[in-house]
Amino acid sequence: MNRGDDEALNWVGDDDPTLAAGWKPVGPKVPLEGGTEGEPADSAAGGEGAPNVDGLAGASGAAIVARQLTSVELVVFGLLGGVYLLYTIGWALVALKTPPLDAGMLNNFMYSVGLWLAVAAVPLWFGCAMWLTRRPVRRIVSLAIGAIMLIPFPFLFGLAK
Amino acid sequence: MKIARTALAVVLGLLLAYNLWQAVASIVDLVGHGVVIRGSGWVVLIAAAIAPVAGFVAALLLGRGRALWALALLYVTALAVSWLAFLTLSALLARVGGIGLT
Repeated sequence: MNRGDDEALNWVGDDDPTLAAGWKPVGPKVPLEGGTEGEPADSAAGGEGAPNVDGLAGASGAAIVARQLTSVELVVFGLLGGVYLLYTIGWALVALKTPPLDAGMLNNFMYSVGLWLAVAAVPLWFGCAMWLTRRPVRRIVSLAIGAIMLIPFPFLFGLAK
Repeated sequence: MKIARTALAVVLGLLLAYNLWQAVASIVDLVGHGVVIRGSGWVVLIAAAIAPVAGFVAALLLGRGRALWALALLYVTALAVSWLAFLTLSALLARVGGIGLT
């Protein structure tokens, strides 16, 4: 009755002769050059990012998306992510500490919603930058613009009082 | 699809219009109460009026040719940033002393 033990160490189809050790390409071959119909603008300037992107200059936009982040980009995204997190906390403190308005029901309601919308603006901007841009350069530029525009000034003014 | 995009523009446009109205009403209110608005005050108040319009236009332009969810995300972000700008500029107005009674 050793059969049960052996079965645990095998997958059905392991001895399939078409399977080879290691990996092998699957699907039709895609030429590296000339696959530019997807994102012509992006691929035209595809080498604008980190130096090691140069090899991808002629590749399609999909290849640029699929490539791994360079360590510099990883550090920059990490730093900006930390900045955005701090901004969110700053705005949340502003929303918590701001006294409610007394200017009629509609204005009061809009103001209290608006306070929390301002808190949400920071992660929303981050999400837009991460999801809606393809090239790392554009992503970093849009995150940098946000890092200037979304500074929680009311919080900083409160500290400086 | 066209209808959904138009509906998004109308709803978020109205919500952003509230922010514009808020800024304009503030100016009218201040002037009506005899408050003197100085140069820096005008800059801040006009920026508060421009912010929602700029946000709407930016979302509209950036959302062209994108999926509906992306357009919705851009509009909601524009609305949120517009409120953030309003709060920032309100704090700034008090800070720079752009308004006064004399």
